[in-house]
Amino acid sequence: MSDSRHLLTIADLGRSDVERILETARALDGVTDENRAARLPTLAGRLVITLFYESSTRTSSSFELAARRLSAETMSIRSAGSSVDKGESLKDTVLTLAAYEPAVIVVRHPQVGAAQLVAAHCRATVVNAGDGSHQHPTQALLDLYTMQTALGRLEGLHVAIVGDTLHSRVARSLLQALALVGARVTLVGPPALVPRGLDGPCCERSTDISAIESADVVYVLRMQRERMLAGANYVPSLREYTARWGVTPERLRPGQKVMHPGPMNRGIELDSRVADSADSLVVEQVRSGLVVRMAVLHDLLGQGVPACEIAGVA
Amino acid sequence: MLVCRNGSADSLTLEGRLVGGRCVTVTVNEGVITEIEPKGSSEALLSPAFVDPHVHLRTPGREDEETVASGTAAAAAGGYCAILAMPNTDPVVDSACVLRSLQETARRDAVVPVGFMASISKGLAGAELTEMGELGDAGAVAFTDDGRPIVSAALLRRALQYAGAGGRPLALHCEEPTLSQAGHMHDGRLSAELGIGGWPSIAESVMVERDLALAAYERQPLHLMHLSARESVGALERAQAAGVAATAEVTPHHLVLTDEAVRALDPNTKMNPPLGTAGDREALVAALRNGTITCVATDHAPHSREEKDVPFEAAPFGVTGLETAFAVLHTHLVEPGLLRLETLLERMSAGPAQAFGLPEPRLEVGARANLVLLDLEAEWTVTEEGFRSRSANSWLLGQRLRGRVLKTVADGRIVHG
Repeated sequence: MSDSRHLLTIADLGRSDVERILETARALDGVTDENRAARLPTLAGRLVITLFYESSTRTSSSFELAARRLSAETMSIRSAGSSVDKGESLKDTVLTLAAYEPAVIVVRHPQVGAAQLVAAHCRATVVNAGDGSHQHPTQALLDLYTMQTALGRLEGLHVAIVGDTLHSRVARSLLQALALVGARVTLVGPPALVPRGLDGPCCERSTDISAIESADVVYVLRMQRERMLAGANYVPSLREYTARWGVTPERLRPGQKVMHPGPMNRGIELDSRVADSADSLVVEQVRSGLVVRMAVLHDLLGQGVPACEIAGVA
Repeated sequence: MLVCRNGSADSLTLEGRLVGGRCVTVTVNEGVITEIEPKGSSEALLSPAFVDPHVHLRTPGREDEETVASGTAAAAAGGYCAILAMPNTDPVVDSACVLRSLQETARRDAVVPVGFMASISKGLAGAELTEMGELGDAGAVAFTDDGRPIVSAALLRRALQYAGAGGRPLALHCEEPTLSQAGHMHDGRLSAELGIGGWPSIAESVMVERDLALAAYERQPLHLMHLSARESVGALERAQAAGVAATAEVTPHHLVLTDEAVRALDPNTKMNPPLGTAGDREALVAALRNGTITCVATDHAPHSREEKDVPFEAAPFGVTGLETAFAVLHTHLVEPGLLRLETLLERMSAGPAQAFGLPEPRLEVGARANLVLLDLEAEWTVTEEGFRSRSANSWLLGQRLRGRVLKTVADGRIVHG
């Protein structure tokens, strides 16, 4: 990775870094397709720790599997049931885990800046698996990979991101990543949930759901129900949200691809008929998650050995 | 009432160049300036010492972060001859007995004179007025609920009426909490990009407008603390033009930084009110230049390492500032030509003294010696080890600054250098 040994935000990457990671993922995809039991030696004898302060299914499982497929030892720490319950600070937890000399710490935390703090207190390579509403860079990379696979290109694509951008680390990372590869974005949603600071040369903002019409990909964000409590007034109600911004078959053109980072609220932001349709890439996203996270770990720690060579060895 | 540790005044002579260019030798006899004689030449600049109207001494309650002794030693090193301490301690300075106990501590420990402010509302709860009469008699310099706004307009109205009768100013932290809630930085492009809860500048300015309207209605003076937004400056200008006796202060960090400083997510760039845009900063510098704002205040807010060594969003607001204020403003405002040295010295000394009715530090025969000797050429690097403060949560760590305090004389005593 260009000049950073960590992956904390998409801003750590340049366009060539993104393209290299996607190519590596493509090469790894070939290998795992042919031989699911294949283990690449990139991380043999090294330790990858996943440290999660928030619940996760997709991200934690795919990082662990990715690390194992690269021959790493893995260790998984959850805040519940650990010393965090006894009031241990993030810094002390990291210092403790650092004593095992991990090659990588993958961290998810509810507060912005957590990944930066971890990176400041250990020698391991740190991969940000989500810090508050800030960044989730590997999600953005796997989304690019999924789009590239389904549509054959990234440059010039038009992606509509629909829903609660304000609280979404996924949207923030994806927006930056799409800008890097020359795609165009329209943010669509209720005024209070689409911050006005995010528009720019390749990013428009609309409060009208019909703005998704011209998009190649409709990327639907999860309505974070825990943030939509009565009195917050981001929207008057979930019912009203669904009526005005829910993604339904009627609001889509045939052939428009639909994506969602999960977990979905079926019937709220996304109609079940859309989620289960042939144009839905949701399951593809999960599959991409594994190879892209392998590619990221390989890219950070593979010491410049091209993945295709390693794939050849395997 | 300013309180300092007991002891005898010093006799000394100081040589220096005045801001107008004239070089002098100043003789101080038992704490009083007795002679100012012309002298051939001198490199160091001699000026009335500084007054900081906004310091958190964290005592009582958080003596691990700052004490009266360490905070006033930091003030001495920063060129200050007087500081005002905020009442948001534990317990809150909301009764004469807490105030008197602090004054007693200061008589034992304070290196430079300290004035203690008392709270406007009991326990800073924003509901009931403190006994401002008794607190005023006991020596409270002014009243403030700093750190919290007075949410109830009716309570502020009563406070204005009552403080007016006692002749002590009210100092207000202006924040509309329903707009700032969940905010950790300025609400703008960068907060949108970083996904950090935004604190809109109108959270300050609508409260500034309201507070000034109340002061106008009650015909009472008012001091606005740590202004951060262009809109607030505009409101203050309009109120002053309409005859409201409003004064205001601004911090070094709001004069030098913008919200861009937050990008690296260093908790030492997390301030309340938050750092604004370049436009906000320009408006604040202009207001300091033209006299709309007459006070530089550090809002020196010590925090322990544990409190700040956490993710940005989890960190408390506030940074230290006593030991770097002059140097950072000299480096970033005076040297680039944004502010005249003379104006900076005025806003760090006479301005705050006048706003709070304190004796104004003067360089003249017969005045009590409150003097600072400055080397404007000296370059130094800010380090944790260099601080007298018990805390090191400075946004300037590792930075090079130009301008250094060589010597401070406070209330007739050499307290630094």
